[in-house]
Amino acid sequence: MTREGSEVGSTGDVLEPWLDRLGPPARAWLRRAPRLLRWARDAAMVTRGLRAEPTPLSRRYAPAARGAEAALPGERRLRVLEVRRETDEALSVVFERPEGLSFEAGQFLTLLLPAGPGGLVRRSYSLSSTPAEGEPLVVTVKRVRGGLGSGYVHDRLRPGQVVRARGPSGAFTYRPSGGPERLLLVGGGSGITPLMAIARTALARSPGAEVELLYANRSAPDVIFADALAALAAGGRLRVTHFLEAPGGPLPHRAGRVGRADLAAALARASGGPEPSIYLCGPGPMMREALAAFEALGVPAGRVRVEHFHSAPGAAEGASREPRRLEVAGRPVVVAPGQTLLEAATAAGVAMDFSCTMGGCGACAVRLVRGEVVLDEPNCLSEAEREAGVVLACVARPRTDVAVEPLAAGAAAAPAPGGANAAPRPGRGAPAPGPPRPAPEAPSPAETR
Amino acid sequence: MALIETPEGQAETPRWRNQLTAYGEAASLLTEVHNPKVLASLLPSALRGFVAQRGKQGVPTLMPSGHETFFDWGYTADKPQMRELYRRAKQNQWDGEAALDWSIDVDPLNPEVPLIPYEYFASERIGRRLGAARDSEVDLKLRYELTCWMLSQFLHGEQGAMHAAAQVNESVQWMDGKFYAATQVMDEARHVEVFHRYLATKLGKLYVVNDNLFVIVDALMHDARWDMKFLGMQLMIEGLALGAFGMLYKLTAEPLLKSLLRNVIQDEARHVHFGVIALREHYETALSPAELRERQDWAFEVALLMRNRFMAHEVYEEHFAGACSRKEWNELVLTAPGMSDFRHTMFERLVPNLRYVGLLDARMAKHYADAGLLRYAGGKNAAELSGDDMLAELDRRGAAGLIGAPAAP
Repeated sequence: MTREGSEVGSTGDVLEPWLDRLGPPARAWLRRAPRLLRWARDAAMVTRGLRAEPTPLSRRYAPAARGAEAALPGERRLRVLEVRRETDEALSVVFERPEGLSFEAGQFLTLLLPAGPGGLVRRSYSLSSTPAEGEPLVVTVKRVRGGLGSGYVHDRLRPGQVVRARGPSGAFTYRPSGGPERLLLVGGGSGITPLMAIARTALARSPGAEVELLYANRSAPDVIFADALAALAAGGRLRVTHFLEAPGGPLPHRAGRVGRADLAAALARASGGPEPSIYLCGPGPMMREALAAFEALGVPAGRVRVEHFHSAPGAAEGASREPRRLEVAGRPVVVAPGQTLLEAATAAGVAMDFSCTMGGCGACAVRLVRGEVVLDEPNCLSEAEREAGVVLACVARPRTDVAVEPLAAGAAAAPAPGGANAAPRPGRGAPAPGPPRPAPEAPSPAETR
Repeated sequence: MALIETPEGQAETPRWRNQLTAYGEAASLLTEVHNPKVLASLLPSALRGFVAQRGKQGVPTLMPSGHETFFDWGYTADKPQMRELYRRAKQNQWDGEAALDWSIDVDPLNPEVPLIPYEYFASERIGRRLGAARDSEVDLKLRYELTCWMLSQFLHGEQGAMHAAAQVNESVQWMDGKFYAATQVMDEARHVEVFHRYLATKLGKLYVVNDNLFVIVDALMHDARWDMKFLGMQLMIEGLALGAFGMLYKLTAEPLLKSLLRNVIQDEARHVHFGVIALREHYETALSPAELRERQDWAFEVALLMRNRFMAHEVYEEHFAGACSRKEWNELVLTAPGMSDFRHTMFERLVPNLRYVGLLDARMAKHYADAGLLRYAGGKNAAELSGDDMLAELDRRGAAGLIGAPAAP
């Protein structure tokens, strides 16, 4: 930006249409007459107003490196190259890969599809393609009965179409270590998609990698990537075992689901070498069974990477979900789930001091004499105050029944100007421990709605 | 491109008619101002804001200020409260780069992580009128546009606050106050930084400054008296901002915006605090009764100016001008649950502060009551109470700590 007046005919300048018509000498002269320019702009705005010509009301930031079409930061436009059938129920959509796009094996794309009554649904689908350069983006979508997103993909999506998307994103990722490594992949149904990307990346990029895949499906026709897996397995470093609940068909398989014994056997095969990295992705019941089995086998939950979705927890995780009793200087008050002590007290007509209601000023500091509370962080309490049992009523939610009393004068920090009790000490450094990053709304590959 | 096109078979509201409504709104402001001195001080700003629309000309704006820089060669340190605030402000600096997780991917149209809830604006009635059914694309885009608009106004307000704090730093006569004001310049710069970064990299859209906001900022930038800048910026605009930030903080589900607002609000609470102690001191000791009356009237008129004037007309003109008239839009916005919540929060903080610094005395209480502003702080409807009753009620609640203001010492 340059200073007002010195900028002649800048983009967005209300005088632009006139200034554009002037020759360089006139423009140079005008540059030396900022006051005249200002009057001219004022007059232009008045005539615009009288003629009811709209003025620029907003501007978009250039969506750099995302393609000029993209309307919102983080959004991409992806062109469909091919729609390929995998099974009766599943098809793969191949997208042109935008230049410079990098991601990690196991991540997902979120598609913004023009479907449903509101005209927009978003669905997250894991990429089965690998990050290797030159490879297009591929997601595999299983049809969900009545599903808006999968219905659109199956019935409407055609090559040449452009789809709005976000990502790739997600933390269910694999990076080749470079040295010898073992991977144990456990998948069910369309949960194979991120595992496919991980297996292919490991085999291609990590010469010392050995991969075992346990893959469960209802029946043989449901198996996605059967041929591709067989071709990869032929290389000798991938071992695939199919599990079918309804046995039959030419595909070699074991009957039933992936059980504890199968996982134990796979872990035993991996013993002796480097500790295997375990990846788990599939329908909910299957994931729960597998996690329980791993735990029973002595594999700590933290060692199993799962593709899951989480809803954002509230700011005060750990607060009671039941109504709790609060005693303020001897007066009883009921605190509803989610309410702060201050909200409950003031709603019940019990006076408490407060000011910012954000945990920032300390005006509502009280001493906790009984019970436990959860505080939103960061807040202005010092370590010494915390140790002295001081809590901030405006950001405190009870974990148990609690009792609080006013701070004795001078017990906490010196009274702040204007009557607040404690020293404002706004949180700094750490971000608020609010909800984690936005997560895919559905278990990555499987559409839930 | 408009979010909503004119429904078929319905004539588009002519733009000139909307423009007339807009001029009418500006004129009504001037008719509402009763004090000739206040009118005289606001009129040039109103012309620059409403008529010349200096904030919308597409070029930077130069605003002269006639204030004097106050040098104290004796470095008098006699304001312990201000010194204490200065100390705290130094200790509580935070880095907008490091304190916030900018890697968060903000998906502005994701109904699972809404920027603002459906209820904020699109009540059922409004939803039907504008065709914005819950979580439809129109509804989600409307919420996105409103968020961009609000945050843009926050950003413009923060820029004004940054300049005003710098001017206060120069013109205030207490050395401790200068120290403190210097930290506030830094605070406001950080707020400009983080709001702008959020708009630019996460929402991708910036609205121009709203005419009403421009008028207020313009008025106090042009005013040479430091306490007017302070009153306007620290109490009025910061009070407004604190209400708006607090509301958005409570409502948004977007984690980056939430932590951004949380950090900003903690600074703002300190700013209002300082504004209150500095002005109380000044108004109690340094002003003649006539000068005090002028401040009282000015604060009241500006409170009026802020009351019903932030109606997202820029969003309306860009997206809904074809779908409904400006008048109808005003009504939709004024009755939206989020907006009334916002007004409530804002005045709940502002009015007690004005009273604390001495700008809401028995003479003014009647005006506040007539304007319906006392009810924002008091429990009962203003119409049910006389000015004295309301003051008594305010005092009672203030003493009980029920009002979000610094309790009288």
